[in-house]
Formats: sequence, structure tokens, C-alpha cells
Amino acid sequence: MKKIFKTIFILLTLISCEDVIDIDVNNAEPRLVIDASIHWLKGTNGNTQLIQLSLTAPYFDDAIPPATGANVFILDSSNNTFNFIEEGNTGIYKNENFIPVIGEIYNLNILYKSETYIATETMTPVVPIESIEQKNDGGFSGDEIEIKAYYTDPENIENYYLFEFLILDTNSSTLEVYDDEFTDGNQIFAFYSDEDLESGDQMLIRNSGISERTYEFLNILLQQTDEDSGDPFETQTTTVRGNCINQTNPDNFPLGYFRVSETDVFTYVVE
Amino acid sequence: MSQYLHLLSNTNSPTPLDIWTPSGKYVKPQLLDQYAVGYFKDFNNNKYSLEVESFYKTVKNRIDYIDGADLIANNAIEQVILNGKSRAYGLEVLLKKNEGRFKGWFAYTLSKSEQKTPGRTALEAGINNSEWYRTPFDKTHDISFTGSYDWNEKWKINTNFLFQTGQPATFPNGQYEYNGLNIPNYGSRNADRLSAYHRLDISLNYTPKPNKTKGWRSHWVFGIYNLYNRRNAASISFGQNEMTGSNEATRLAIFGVVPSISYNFKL
Repeated sequence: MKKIFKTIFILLTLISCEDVIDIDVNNAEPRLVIDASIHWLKGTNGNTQLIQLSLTAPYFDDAIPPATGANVFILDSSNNTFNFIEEGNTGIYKNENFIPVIGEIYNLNILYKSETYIATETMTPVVPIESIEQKNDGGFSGDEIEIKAYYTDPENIENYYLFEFLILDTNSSTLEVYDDEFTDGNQIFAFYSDEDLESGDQMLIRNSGISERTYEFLNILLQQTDEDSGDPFETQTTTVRGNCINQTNPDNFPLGYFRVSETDVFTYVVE
Repeated sequence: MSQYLHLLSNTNSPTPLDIWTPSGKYVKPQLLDQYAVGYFKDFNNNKYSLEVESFYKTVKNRIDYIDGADLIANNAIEQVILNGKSRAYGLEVLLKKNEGRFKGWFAYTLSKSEQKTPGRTALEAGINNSEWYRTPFDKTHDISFTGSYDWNEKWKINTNFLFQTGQPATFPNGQYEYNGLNIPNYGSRNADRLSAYHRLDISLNYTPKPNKTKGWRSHWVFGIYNLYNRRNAASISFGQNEMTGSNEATRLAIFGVVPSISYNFKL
């Protein structure tokens, strides 16, 4: 019997296609990464906002270094200045008197290592999540939990949506972007499916309104972080540049994005 | 020479899945000019022959997809490609033994194949800042050896060895975090390479009745493909380990060692 198992094992290792290997990759010079996502949660005053600055790291490193000591502020069109103050040396910058206005144009300004980075974005509104539908026999193998978050798209306006599905226990998040090209004015759903979800798990579903260019950016970015990267249907990988510009030295461009959204949050406990 | 079909490979690592697009309103035919100089000589009563040839070729209207292009199920492919040019040059050496119990040949090619894809206007960066970069099939060294030896009338040994520089690919040169996601940051296109491709095949040819000239004539072939089970990478992909969350590189290798038996017959 043992011999049979051994034979099967050897056959399997001979046939199996994929294995994890050690490989040397080039390490580029660190760049500034701007994670500036302003969320105005529906029903709040939206005064407290966070901006996270970090640096790129070598691909196989386990830690991402924060970018500390930067001078960060946002300017609105009526010249209100919102200063973001760093919390210790975390690379997390906080402002507690932000004034969110739908349709307002905000300008981000960051001074880091004597280089100035700027970006502009408009606060984009969003419709609320109306209901959640759960299905327990989803997926290809029929053992995945599927979550559908329904919302109604406003008619005759181009809308773009970013959905974030956050599982609180594991702190994992999945992002999906949608446009309304074929669903204008209809009730439609955002879709999430997971085989590791269990009854009782808490999740946060966030729906944010985003601009068309933010949609394009996130769409390309998400394709590159696809878990199945390397599959034959994948798009050409490349450096994905966002809407932030280095004014002092354009070649040392930053990564990340400056996004200003109205956001609706739905807390859901898996049944 | 002109070619009216264009190959578009849509992955960061080479895979067997390719898209072909015909020339048309937006995609001009590829025009190729090739120059070659060669030296050919047979010696020792034609027992051996030597061929040395160098080539230089240029291709106009070589297309490549833009960064981030999605080609699968895309009806308007002309919107995601750019027109460029390519060039290739190299030296080929072939040494053959034509007669005797041992026959075979040894071939070596040293070559370089590059392309350049500028943007449509001066404002567009094109691909890799409009500089020359490797084509997906650039192989610096390509060595192949094929030999056969007649042991006796019944048994014959064949062997085949290949060595090729790894195919160009695009690997990440860094990682960062954005919106709770770990994102690989890729370098310039085709700046990296897969590890070198090499393998050895061997086969034994057995003819039970070599003197038979009529009727049912048959022989057996016992072969082993990829004798030392080299795991040649078809592609290398990058992602996060589901358990630990740290980044890892995964190699896809299609064939390990493959034994084979075949029976051939003629009537």
C-alpha cells in the first residue's frame, strides 16, 4: 500500500505544473506612495479624514516603510486650508476639521523631502446601498458564499462606483469598480464571493462615488493585483500612474491616488 | 517581404495563448527587409558541411499593445495598439556530419531582436519611453544539437539537446500599499528574462526485422523527453501567498520528464 502512495506522490510531483521559486528581481529606487482617499460617510459631518503616505519597497520584503515628516494640506475652492498632521511617525496624517461639499474641487498639496506633489479631484456623490442578498451555494464548486449589494443607479448621469468588501475578522478587503454603461437608471448589484466566509462573520460594505478617471485608474490597478496574475487573460503589466504629480521633479513621479468620494457604509453579518 | 497578420501576445509572461490580428484600415501590413551574408562549405568528401551566416533585418509597422491594454474580447483592438518598428541581427553557425554511423548537427545562433514603439504624438510616452526594448522572442544564445548513432542493424540511438536564453518578461521592481491592497509595481516592458530553457531528449529505435523489404515492416521507438526533468518556466507570475500574505513568485512549467513508447509500421 505504501508503495502505491509513493508512486502516486512521485507521479503527482512530476506532473504538477506550478511551484513557488526564488527569483531575483530588480529593486527600483523608492517612490512616494500617496494613499489619499477622502470619504464623506453619509450621515456624518465628514470632519475627520486620514491620508497615508508610504514608500515603495523591494518586492519580496515583508514591511512597507511609512513616509514620515511630510507637510500635507488640502485646499478647497474658497481657499479653506485643511492641514493634515502626522500621528507620531506612522506616515498617517490626520485632519479633524475637513468640510466636505458635493461637487467641490479639492487640491492636495504634499511637501516631502523638499519636493512638492500636487493633485486635484472633485467630491463625487453616491447612492446608498439598499439591500443585501446572500446565496450559500455560489461559485464554481457550489460552496462559496455570494453577497450581492443592491443599489439604484441615477438615470441619465454617468456614474462610477467603487465597492469595498471588508471582512472585519481577517481584515481583508476586496475592491470592485463598476460603471453604469449598461445599467443606467436601473437597480443593480455589486457582487462578492468568498469560500472562506462563515456564518456570523461581520463585514463592512462601502460604496463610494468616483470620477471616470478614478474608475479607469482603479480598473487597471485592480487587474494588475489580480490574485490570478499571470493568467492568459491578463492585461499587460506596467507601472500604474495616478493623478498625483511631482511638481519639483516630474521624473520622480509618485504612485497612488487622490480620491474624494461620498461613501455609504452597510454593516452586514453573514447568515 | 510583407506580412498581413500581426501577432499580439497579451501577457506579462510568455504563454502559449496568442492573438493574431489581420492588417486593415488601422493596422498597416508589416514590411520586412532582410540582408544576409553567408559562407557554405563541404569538406572531407562531403562528409561534413559548415554553414555560417549573418543576418540583419528591419520590420516596419510592428505593432505592440499599450500599457494596460485589454485585448481579450476587445472589438476595437486598434485603440489599444501602437505602431512601431523592430530590428534583428545575428550570426548563425551550423556544422553537420552527413555520413557514417554517427550523423548529426550542431547549431549555434547569437542574435538580438529589438523593437521601438513611440507614442502617436510628442506628448505621448509610447512604450518604455520610446526607447529600443526586447521583443518577446529575443534569444541571445540558441544552441541545439541533434545526433544519431547506428549501434547495429536493429538498434539506433537518437539524442537531441536544446539550450536557449530565457524569454523576455516583465517582473515587478517593487511593491506598495494602496487602499489596503498590496500592489506590485512593474518595471519597463520585457526588461527581465525567464531562466534559461534547456532540455535533453533521448530515444532508442528498435527494428526487429531490418532485412525485411516486403509486407509488414515495423519498428519501435522508446523515448524520454526532458531526460533530467528540467522544470523550464513557461511563465512566472507574482502574487501573495494566501496563508502568510507575503509576496512570492510562482513558476508555471508545462512538461517535466515524459517517457514514451511508439510502434510504427508500413505495409
